[in-house]
Amino acid sequence: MYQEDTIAAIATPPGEGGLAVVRISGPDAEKIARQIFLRPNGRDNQLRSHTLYHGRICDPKNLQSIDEVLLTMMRKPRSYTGEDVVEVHCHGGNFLVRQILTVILTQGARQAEAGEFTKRAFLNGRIDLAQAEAVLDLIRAQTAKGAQLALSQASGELSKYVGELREELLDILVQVEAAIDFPEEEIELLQRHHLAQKITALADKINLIAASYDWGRLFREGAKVCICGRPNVGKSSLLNALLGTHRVIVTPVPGTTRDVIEETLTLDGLPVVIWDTAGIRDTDDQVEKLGVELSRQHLEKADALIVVLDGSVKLTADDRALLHSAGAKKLVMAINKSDLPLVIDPGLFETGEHRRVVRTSALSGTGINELKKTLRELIVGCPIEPPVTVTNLRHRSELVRSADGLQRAVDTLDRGLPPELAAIDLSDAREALEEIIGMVSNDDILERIFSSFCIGK
Amino acid sequence: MGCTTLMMTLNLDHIGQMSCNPAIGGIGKGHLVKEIDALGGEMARAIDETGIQFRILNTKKGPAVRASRAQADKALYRMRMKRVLENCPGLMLRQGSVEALIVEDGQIKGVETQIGECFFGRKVILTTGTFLKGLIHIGDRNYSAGRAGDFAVHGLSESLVGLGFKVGRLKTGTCPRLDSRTIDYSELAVQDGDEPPQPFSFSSHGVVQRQVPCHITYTNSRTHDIIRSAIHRSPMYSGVIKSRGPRYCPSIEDKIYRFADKDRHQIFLEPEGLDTVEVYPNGLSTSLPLDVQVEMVRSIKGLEQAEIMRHGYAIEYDFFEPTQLYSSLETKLVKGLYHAGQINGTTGYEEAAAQGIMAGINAVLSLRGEEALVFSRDQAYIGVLIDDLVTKGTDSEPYRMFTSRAEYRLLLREDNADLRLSAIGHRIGLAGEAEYQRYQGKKAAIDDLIQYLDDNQLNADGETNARLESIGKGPLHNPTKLSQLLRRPEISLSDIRVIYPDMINCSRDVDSQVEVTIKYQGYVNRQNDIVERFQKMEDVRLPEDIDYSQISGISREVREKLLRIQPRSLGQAARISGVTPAAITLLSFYLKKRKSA
Ligand SMILES: Nc1nc2c(ncn2[C@@H]2O[C@H](COP(=O)(O)OP(=O)(O)OP(=O)(O)O)[C@@H](O)[C@H]2O)c(=O)[nH]1
Ligand SMILES: [Mg+2]
Repeated sequence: MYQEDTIAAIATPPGEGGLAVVRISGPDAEKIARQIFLRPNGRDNQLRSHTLYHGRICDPKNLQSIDEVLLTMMRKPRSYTGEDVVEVHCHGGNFLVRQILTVILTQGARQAEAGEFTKRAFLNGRIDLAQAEAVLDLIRAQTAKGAQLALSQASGELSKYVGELREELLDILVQVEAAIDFPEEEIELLQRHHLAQKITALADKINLIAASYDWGRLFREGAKVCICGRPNVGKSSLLNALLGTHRVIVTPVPGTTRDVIEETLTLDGLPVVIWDTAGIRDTDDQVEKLGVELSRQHLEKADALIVVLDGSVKLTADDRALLHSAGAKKLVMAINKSDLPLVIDPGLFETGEHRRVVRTSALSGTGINELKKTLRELIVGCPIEPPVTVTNLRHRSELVRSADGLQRAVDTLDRGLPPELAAIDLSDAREALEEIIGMVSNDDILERIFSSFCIGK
Repeated sequence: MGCTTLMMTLNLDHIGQMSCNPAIGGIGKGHLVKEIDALGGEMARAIDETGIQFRILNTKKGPAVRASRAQADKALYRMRMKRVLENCPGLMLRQGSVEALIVEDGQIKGVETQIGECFFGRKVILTTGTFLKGLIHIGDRNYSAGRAGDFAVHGLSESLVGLGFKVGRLKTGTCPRLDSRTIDYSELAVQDGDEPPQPFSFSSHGVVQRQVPCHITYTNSRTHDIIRSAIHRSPMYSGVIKSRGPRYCPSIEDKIYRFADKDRHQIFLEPEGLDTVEVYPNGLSTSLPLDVQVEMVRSIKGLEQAEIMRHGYAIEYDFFEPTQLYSSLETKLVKGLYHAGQINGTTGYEEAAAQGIMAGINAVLSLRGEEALVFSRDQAYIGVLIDDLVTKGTDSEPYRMFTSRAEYRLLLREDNADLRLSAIGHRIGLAGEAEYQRYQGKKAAIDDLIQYLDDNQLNADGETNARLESIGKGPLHNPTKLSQLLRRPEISLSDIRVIYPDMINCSRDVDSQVEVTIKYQGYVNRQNDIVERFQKMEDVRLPEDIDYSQISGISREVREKLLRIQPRSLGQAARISGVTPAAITLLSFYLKKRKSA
């Protein structure tokens, strides 16, 4: 809920930057702008909507000039929030921008809360639900890629695509409904199996973007990677090499790492939380035992593993046991210490979509870039790139609901049941799509029937 | 329902006159007729007594969308309806033209006729059809008429506008009528009615009139050329008529322009009665000049020699935006005044009848001091119809019922209209005692049969499987409950009667109810779940004194819409076009706050 007051905030991220934007939204936006904005040669400051003006921001109390700015006014409803909006483009720099905001606030605007502009945009119907959610994701995004994905949604890419899917679904529904409501017309209708084929194709598309959620989630929340292996194979050294710093203690003594060390790094935009763990082996040492247990827990939680093997010695039973226990998990085998004469033949390992082998030397740094690249591919690996990425759990579950509805419609048709039952399934699927963009249903179907068929005896 | 009532009509001979196609029912419309019947209305009984061809449409589809349609003997239907009215106790019939309403302090007091006669009453229901400022167009000629052969009414529109009602204009049209003796049927396809014909009314004693066939012919490229070369003489295309006609019942000239790629259009030749030679060429609605109509008709196979007895025409008339009504069909502006039928921008006899019966019921309930009868969208097509009208309006095109307008179509079938509504019709005193007994008997029989099917099972023995094989169905492998067997898509109750001859006997009606209940249980349950969600929103009533300006965050447009429509419930508010989901959220927050305050 919001009061219909005027809010203001700095719209650009904090920190030094070439430019910054201060945004004002609400019924007094224009009044405030005219009080603090002076145009050159004292020209009158009538503001036309959607026009860029050059001038100075002054403190009306002492007429002291604060900054030279560009200012634009967007009259409602054609603005981001759907209210009167003024944007002041000023020079970057924390102090300067704060000063401008302060002047605005003293003129009667209120400091906006986080996400308040977006909330107003949503409440005024300027953006749909999916877009609003994406803007919030955008604010929360931790990495550049995550922000990019959220941005594409905020600008309506997901809504647009879901809108297209809905159109396709409506076309199918129109076929079914026209056959039901106008059986006496000479309408060429799709055969049952053609209809089922069309529905299945649509379900595939929906499933594809639903699956992209997991992909999007990685970019937003970061992938979890666990470095594991026997003691002393060079796990900690490898982590240091990946980070490019001496973060972790490295010694020739097996069992050096006892606790889980967590670090973050970015693999070409993909945020990764990486864990260095205690070497896994059978041991009687109480402390080490606890460490091993902890290692196993993290191994479970990880999206992908780096299983470190010491390439200078033969594969041991512990190595084999570990590889076996990793099961179907995505993993890269890092055959480390490759600067020493290799005893393990990398060709021996079965590789595939979920298992890769890389030769590394934590000591010399060879193979580290290869390791990074392989790791990223392994994690992101997506056979067909989805046309849009879903980053919000609610969207994903609606997509899944929609695809389920379509699947049920196909079953209904396959079982030879009447078309109005398939229509129920299709309507479920349609409703799910509409809930993503927060749209209320309407008479779209009849509208389409009349525009595409000649109805009426 | 026992009230002393005056029925004022322009022409007592034209009560129940079918101005357009002499047929009752059709998809979505048949549903309305059955609902009217369950409530105690006349339409179904009248068509059963006067119908000359009965057909069930959509038989190849499921039970929800199967619909009855019948052609009437136009004259018999009219006389039948008039007789019912004449025999109705407490009903006075008068001929006259109501030209003005008498209103005091926003309350209806009565009506005044063209000769200054005044009638007073506590409730007035207007059912003006196409008569308000009716203007008939044919070619570039037009003349004032309520329909061919009847006068238009002018004063009443003005009177309503004077009271503050928003008026609009709609257009519809009809076909020329042909002389059957000049039609060559010899090479046309015959369309017979169903054998045996299925009556409409739940309490019917069957169909009584002789049944006759229809014939089917087609327009051709020459017909289309004739129309194209004369199109500039059509009032629709020359711009004389500005209002939009219905898209589902377009004139032939419309069809040819909108669907230019179709090289022919179907025409049904339907007799208008048993004792008349007039034929209704369904599909040939037109307002082209008469010479073009003649040429066009004669270009069609079988109609080469056809004589036009009455010309086709378009008619424009006044209607009043139905968003000016409450769900009871009472107007928001004048207490005690109700609107029903084409005055609300609908088309079709069935849609009109559905509103008429509801306006009548609600006028009486209001006199009794009872709450209005408003059907919800999951209860009746009548509910869907009225909710659409008062919530969304008619949006420049006459409103017609389709099954796709009903979200809960599987629940609103023709076959269960009595189960849905008979008890209500009886409660309000409209449906008779005999009908009510019949309904209760049917309900009990249905429950019994369902129980029976659950209680009895078939063994997977040789005898059973032999019987299954004899009707071409796959064998059983395990002992199976009869209800389980019925769930198979290919098995019907009559199949089960063959396989399990001991089964109790029931009427067709009961059988089909049970079949639907069991066969489509999964879907029915799912619709019921959705209905439950829907009802949650419907149950949130919006108090009449709600002050929308108190709700911050709602845009002015949305606020104006809410003020204008005055929705009864949160659900109805959400159906108003342009009311955003966000606004509904705000509204629901506001209601919660108000409640706790
Ligand atoms: N030659 C060579 N030695 C390495 C390499 N990587 C690690 N080492 C050495 O191997 C020893 C163990 O290294 P760590 O990184 O502590 O091994 P770890 O797997 O973390 O051992 P724990 O924590 O004890 O399980 C150290 O002496 C490292 O210098 C490598 O690539 N080449
Ligand atoms: Mg270590």
